[in-house]
Amino acid sequence: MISLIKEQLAIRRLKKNLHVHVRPDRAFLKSARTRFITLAQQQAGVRVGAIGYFRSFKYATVAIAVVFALTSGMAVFADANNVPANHPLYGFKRLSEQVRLDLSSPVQQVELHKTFAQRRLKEISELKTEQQIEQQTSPSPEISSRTNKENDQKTNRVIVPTINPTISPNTDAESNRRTNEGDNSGTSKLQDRIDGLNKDFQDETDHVLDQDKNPQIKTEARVQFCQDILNTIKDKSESDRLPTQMVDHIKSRCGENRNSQED
Amino acid sequence: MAPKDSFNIQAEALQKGKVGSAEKIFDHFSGPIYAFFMARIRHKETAQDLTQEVFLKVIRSIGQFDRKSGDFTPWIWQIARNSAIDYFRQKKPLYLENLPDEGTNISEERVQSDESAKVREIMTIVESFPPEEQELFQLHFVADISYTELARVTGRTESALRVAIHRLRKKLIPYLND
Repeated sequence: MISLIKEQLAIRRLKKNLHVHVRPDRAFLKSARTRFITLAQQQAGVRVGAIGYFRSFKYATVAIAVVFALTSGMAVFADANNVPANHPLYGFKRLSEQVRLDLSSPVQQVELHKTFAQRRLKEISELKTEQQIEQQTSPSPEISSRTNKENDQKTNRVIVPTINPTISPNTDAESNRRTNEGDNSGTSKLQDRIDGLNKDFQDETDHVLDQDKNPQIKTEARVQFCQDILNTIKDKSESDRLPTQMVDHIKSRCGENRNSQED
Repeated sequence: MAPKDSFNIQAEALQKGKVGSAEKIFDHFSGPIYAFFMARIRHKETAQDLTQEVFLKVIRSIGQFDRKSGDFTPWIWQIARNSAIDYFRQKKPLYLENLPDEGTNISEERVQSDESAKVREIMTIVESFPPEEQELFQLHFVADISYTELARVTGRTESALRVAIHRLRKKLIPYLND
């Protein structure tokens, strides 16, 4: 028992002596502590900043990827289905066409411009058909004015003795007039769209026929393009005809190209 | 089952940049880690450098600490042990018999005292023990790590450690009674 106590005391003494000899200096501990805490503060600042940057970068990447996937998906869908000019995805179709043009060689570009010019013509004829239907379904200006007058008289007769003086007797007539105005604005919007597409068609042809715009395209390819486009225009029905001025412009361009080929 | 390591919370707070947790971690581990290096290397400046290096590594890699992968206490001690291993890889160990007294960097006053002589003698004796026992001596007798913490650091059970330390004591006793 006594030997056990002696052993315990000896071990305790050893530990105590060891601790005395391996105890760090106060000055060292103080400086090391300050350094550690300063580093912790600096590192935390960097880490928080880095995490914030990484997170925002991650979200931005995901958002860009999603937007890119949706846009490209819709563009491919719109292009593959050749959606009409009044379709909500029409803008994506045009975007896809632009990308295809940017990624193709000058030889392929001629074919693409031809395809897209034909597409524009098809879109113009679709819009013209729609315009005609609207004009047929909506009353003519004389009819509509007559109807308005009749409505005015009718409403005057009926509504004049109305109890509520705040309601105008011409309300129905006004609404009819407004409807007709709306119809007219719809038709004018269609006309604006058709005009825009006519211009787009001209741009498509100019891209091939104008040497300054695309000097890499060979003259033979331009002449062939001219023949194809002029044949397409010729085949169009009376109602789908392009403005004469525009047809003349294409013809003159084609003439220039033919002359340069002969030279 | 060992109780949860309270320093996991401090480490996670340190990850978030809380200065208070950095202070707590340093105050708890700096002394034992320095003592551990002193026991192994027996050179004051080197022990100081290695201690600083351990805390620098803690700061650098605290972002990688994940309590799911293991507790903080064994994590920081593993850094200390690796630092000691790296030191010995780069430099030959400083054997006492090959060095003058100054080499041990224990002050003249201490060297001259009987206690210091005894400590130096014991340390030299321990160097002839198997590596596991040397490490137990450095961690338990010199760095004064509790059984619970020692169990976390070494990955052994507390009861196994008690037996191992009891055997180590028995080995040391003959040299202490002189």
